[in-house]
Amino acid sequence: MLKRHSHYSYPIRKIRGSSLLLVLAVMAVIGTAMAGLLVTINAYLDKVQERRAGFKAYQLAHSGVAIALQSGIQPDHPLLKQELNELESFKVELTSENARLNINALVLGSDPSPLQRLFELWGLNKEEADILVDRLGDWTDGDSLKKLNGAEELDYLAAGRRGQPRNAAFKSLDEMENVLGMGRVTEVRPDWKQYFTVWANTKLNLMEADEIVIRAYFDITEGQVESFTSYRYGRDGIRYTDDDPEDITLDEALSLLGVPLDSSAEVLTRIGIDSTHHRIVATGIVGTREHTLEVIAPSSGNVAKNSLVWLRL
Amino acid sequence: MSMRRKSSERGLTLIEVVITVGLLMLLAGALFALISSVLESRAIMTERVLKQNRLIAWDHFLRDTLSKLERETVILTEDAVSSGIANPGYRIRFINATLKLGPYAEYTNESSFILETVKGQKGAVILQLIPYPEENETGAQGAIYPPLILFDNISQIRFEFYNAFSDEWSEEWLMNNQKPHAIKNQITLQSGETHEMIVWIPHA
Repeated sequence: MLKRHSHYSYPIRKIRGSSLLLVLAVMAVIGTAMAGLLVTINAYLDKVQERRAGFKAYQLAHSGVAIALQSGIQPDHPLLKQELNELESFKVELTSENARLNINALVLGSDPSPLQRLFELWGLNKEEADILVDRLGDWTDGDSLKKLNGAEELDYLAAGRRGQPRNAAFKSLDEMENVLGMGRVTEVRPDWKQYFTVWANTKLNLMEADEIVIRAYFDITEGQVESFTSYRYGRDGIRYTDDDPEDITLDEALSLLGVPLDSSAEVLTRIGIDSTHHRIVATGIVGTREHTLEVIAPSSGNVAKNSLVWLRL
Repeated sequence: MSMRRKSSERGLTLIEVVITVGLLMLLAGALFALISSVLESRAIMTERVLKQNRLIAWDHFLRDTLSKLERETVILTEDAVSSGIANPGYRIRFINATLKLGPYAEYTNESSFILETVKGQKGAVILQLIPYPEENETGAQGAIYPPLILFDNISQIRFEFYNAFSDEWSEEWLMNNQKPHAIKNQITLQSGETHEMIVWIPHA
């Protein structure tokens, strides 16, 4: 009887327990699914928040560019650095594009010697510098005639590169990397692009140019350059401060540099003390998020929209 | 033996029922809370995305339109209050300024437009765009398009105009012989969120 009892009563209990378990299991599944959905939505919300911060940073960077594009704005103008609140701000670096060497003017002009000297000052030996200058010339000149140390189509083909050199002026600094041997410059001077331009006109701005560029340009000693650079920004060595000397003329600058005024006529046509173009680097900051815009713009007069060259958007 | 049999056939005890119901209620409550959070998060997400998209559209509209202004465009403010915070009724009139944006293609032929603030619901300010054709030779205006609402949940909106010649910002621009060199716009939404942007206006 006992056996029979257990035979009939267990299935009933089992069914009752199973239904409760089933309900609990279904609720657990739904709960888990909901929790998963909540986590996913929260993750997406974080992403939206991040994207919004990115957009705000982009907007602030554009605001910086809008200020920097105004004619007459100097790099020390307070509007170029603004804090909207604790989290949001923008800052703009305004530098003269004419402080850089116009690579096309140098390699296509009659005197590329400043370029050669610059490479040597960076640590290349004379032979390496000669080769590189000729190769840069071959890249930009319109002919297929190989310069003494240059490289034309066959040399590039031998290096596995088709359709090079371009035989036209450089359109960007990145294009310079394609010239055979530029890897050596990158080795000795990884930031070499900061010294060149293809956008500003050919006149080097002596008031803004780096010491090493001025040395290479005039083939003068470090001491000569220092006597000029220590004067051009005043005692504190910082431009746009109260101790800056009054407007320096080109003759005064050359005199301080110890460069005779009757030096090479071509060199003198390629230097100046003002800028035709500015490089604007505007960074919008929202918390830890940053967005940087970089644009080359004419520095004087009314700027047309199509005269802007956007390098970073 | 008969006692045992009876015991096996009886129903659930009161305690069993109470515990089971309590457990189910607890689980149902937790599930309800979870579903509520999911729905709330979803609503927040939708609102944020919508707000974000509106701000992006506004940014593009202002930047694109102002950067394409014609040489002869005139910008004039009307009814600006002294604090610079635009109350309903504040208008910025863009004359000879063609709308060229894609989404507003239907207004492409219109050569002037107005940015206007009007009173919205629950104390909000609405910012709307009114494209309108220039007056014809007889002085009569053609058909006016319905306003296009850009924002309907603004608590404060401020425009400032930059004059590069004097290096000054002003809350009004009444010079019909020249355009400002930049426009600063600050929008505070009813949610408390503030957006600020400065837009360059080319003069060449």
